[in-house]
Amino acid sequence: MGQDNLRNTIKVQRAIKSITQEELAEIIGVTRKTINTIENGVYVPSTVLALRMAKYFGVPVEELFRLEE
Amino acid sequence: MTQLTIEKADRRRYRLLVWQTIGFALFFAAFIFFPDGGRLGEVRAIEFIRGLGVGLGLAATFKLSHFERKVRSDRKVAGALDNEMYRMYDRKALVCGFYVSILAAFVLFVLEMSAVDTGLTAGIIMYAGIVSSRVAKLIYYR
Repeated sequence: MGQDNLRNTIKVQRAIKSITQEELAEIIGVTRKTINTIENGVYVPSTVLALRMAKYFGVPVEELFRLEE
Repeated sequence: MTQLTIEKADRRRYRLLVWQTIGFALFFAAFIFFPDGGRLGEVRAIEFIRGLGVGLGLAATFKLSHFERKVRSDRKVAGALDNEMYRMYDRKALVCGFYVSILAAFVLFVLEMSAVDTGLTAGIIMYAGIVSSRVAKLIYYR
């Protein structure tokens, strides 16, 4: 079985909304470091946090995060 | 509170944790490795290190508790500083400390240091575990 990697489109979504990591962090209620580690794939967020981000961007969570084999 | 405050609070907490770790490491190193204050001529240096450790550790702990009390009044900042990522890092740091303790015990055993004072052996294992856990936490939080 191959290793599944979690990819995300947070950077793209941020660019569409024209917001910085700091601004997103404030809206979601986390620190900028948290957003940074999620965006770079270092940290895999919980379902709650992923849903909160998806809700803010107005996209399904599958569009924000997807598995890549 | 603004994000700037969250960022400032995050940086401040990190700084205080660094000082607290340094203070703890200095004090307990002097306490564990030189329980009687060291050989003649070293006493002053050991006492100085111990005093410095106590001073730094206590000042950082006092400031940290004051800071945490202040932060708790703002739910958003408190939530941001204690989000799931930091809780995961805390757990990882504890696990790291646990394994380093086991490694320290193993190394002491292999080096046949069983002849060494029991208190010192326990102190070394405890010191290695706690300090590595704190350092791991600082690395993760960075």
